[in-house]
Amino acid sequence: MTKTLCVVVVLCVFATNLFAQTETALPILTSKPVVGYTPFVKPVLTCQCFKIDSPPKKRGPVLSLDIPLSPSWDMVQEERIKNHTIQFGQSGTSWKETSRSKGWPLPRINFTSSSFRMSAEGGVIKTQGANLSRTMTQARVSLEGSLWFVLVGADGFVGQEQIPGIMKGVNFDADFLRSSYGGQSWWGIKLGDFNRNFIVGRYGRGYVRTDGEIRFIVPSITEDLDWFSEYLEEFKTESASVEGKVKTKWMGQSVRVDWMKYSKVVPSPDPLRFGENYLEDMWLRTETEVMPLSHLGVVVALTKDFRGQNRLMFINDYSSVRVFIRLAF
Amino acid sequence: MFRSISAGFFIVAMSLVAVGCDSLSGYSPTSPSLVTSSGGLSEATSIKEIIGDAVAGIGDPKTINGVELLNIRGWFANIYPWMYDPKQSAVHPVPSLWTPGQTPSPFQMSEQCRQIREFGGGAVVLEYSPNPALGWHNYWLSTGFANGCGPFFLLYEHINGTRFIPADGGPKNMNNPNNRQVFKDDIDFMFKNVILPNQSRYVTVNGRAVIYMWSSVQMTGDFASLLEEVKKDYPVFFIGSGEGQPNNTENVARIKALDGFMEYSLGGPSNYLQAVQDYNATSISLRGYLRKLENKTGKRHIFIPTLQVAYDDTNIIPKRNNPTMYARSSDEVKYHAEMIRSNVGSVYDLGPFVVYGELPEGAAVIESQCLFATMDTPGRFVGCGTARLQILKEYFGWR
Repeated sequence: MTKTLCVVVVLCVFATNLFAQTETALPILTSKPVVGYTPFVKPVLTCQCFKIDSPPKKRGPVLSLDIPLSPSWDMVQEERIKNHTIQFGQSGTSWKETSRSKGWPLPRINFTSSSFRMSAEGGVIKTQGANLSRTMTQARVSLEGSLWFVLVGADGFVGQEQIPGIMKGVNFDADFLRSSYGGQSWWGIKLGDFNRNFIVGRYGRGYVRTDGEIRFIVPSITEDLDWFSEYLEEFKTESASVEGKVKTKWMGQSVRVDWMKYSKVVPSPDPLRFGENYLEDMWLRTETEVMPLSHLGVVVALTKDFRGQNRLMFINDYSSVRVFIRLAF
Repeated sequence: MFRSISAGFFIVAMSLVAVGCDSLSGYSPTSPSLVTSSGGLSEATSIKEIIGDAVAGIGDPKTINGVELLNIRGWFANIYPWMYDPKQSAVHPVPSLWTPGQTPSPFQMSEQCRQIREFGGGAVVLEYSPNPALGWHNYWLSTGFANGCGPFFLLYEHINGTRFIPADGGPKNMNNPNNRQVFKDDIDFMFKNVILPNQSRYVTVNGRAVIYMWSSVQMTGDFASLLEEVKKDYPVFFIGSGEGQPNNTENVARIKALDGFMEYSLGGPSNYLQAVQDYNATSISLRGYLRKLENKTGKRHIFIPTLQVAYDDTNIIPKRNNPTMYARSSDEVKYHAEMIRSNVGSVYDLGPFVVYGELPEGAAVIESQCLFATMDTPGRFVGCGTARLQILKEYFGWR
């Protein structure tokens, strides 16, 4: 009797499920989402450690101020200026040197919203080499915005570097002055949100001009002597870049690859006397942002050049490692 | 025995060739050996000339086996077959170099050559006209075409004393058939009577003999086609002067047809400092234009700078009424030299060109007498004696 009762109970329990499966019409599972189909059953996660929060609301615009802590700058070697070959760009001979700047750091201001961002930086860089001091005043502005997936943007820079007494003559030394300006515009495709995660591809064209001048120092001549053009080179530029960024609440990581081609407006008939007609740069830049506090963080930027660093022909650039303190509002 | 003697002779001969003429240039300028040394130098160069010219004369005259311009180190001295008239001169050479009322004697020309070489001159530019009425060709013949000076080329005096129409010092219309023929005749004469016989010393660019015209800008009309015609017939290389950025097709064509540029004079604005700075700026501008031209045509133009120490033509009769131009101090001349030196290799190719013996316009750098009128005064640097030459040696001398 007892055995019979147990068998009945077991059969009832299993038979309920068995009958239910056979009697219930299961929905057809497709590999593609069906329009209007709404899964009522939330899939069970196998591991809770990668749990993703529900999509956050859009963040508002962020204004941040980056104050550099590492005062190292890449600039063209003094020898290239003395040899009158700075306008040749990076060629076989050594090209760049890294110096530590004195004085106030060059701050960078960023404004970022989901579909627009702007960055501006500039100031005066003073460096002291073994014998010479160099003063570079430069500024750079960049802005871009997107509508739907289409991105448009532009940037521009101006720079002027002065190196007193760099040229050594027979009796008189000469000062060197380099003035450059340029800009470019681009269009591209953007997926994502500038304030959070995004990926961007750009293609742009622009113009850059650089002018080197010298002025002799003759103590016995009291008038202001003229500055004379040492070189004047204009370039059309063509650029392409890909950039991506992933951001969480506390951290952000961006990677950007840039390629830039410079083509002389007045072509050089002889590379030995006037330099090459085409120059190329390609570099990878990463920025790691750590924001332990909501308004305060650290940004570490690393740059790796692959082809050339011809952009130093125009203005100085940060060295390959730089660290910023970021104040965000 | 014979082999040993031959080998010894060969070694000695090769040593002399290897040492070259430069080793002979260090003789004392005032010693009695001067003439002997000078003669030795002339003898060595003469042998080279005779052999070289004889061999080259047999061959194809399409190239000149001369001294390549771009291999010359030192400055270029313009020397003259003119009479020294003290009344019309602003520079008064020392008697050992020039006698008043006379052209330099062959000995004095040899002394001028010695001085030019001593102060770093690399080649000389002979003021020359084929016009027999001037007698300049015979003058240069009497000096062996300044054979003590080493390499040389001709300054073709194509404005003054020429057989062009008009014969005055003004521009020449080169559309005029007579002028075109005179030009061809002159080049033919120079080529056959100066360049070919002296080709081992003659300055060339890629085997083409350099002929300098001090004011090509005054050759108006279709001068370009004439230059091209002549260049087809003779291996010559024309250096012009007075050219700036062209403003019409005629000027563009002339600049294209010319092979190089070299100013004769920087003119006479009263302010020396401004003049040399203007010249520097003009040179930079011209080089920029030549770069664009080279890019279009593929032709490289040679550009030689000009160093000028002063300008003073106040003694010339009839009066020209030009302002005089003196540096206020030797530093202003050095500043001029410094600008030129820093631009050699970028704006300029080599040089500079210097008027060595142009006495009437006061630009000559020749060793001069320090007279009351030619002494330095506060705010006026004349540079009598060898002061002008010292600056040249300091900046451009290479010995």
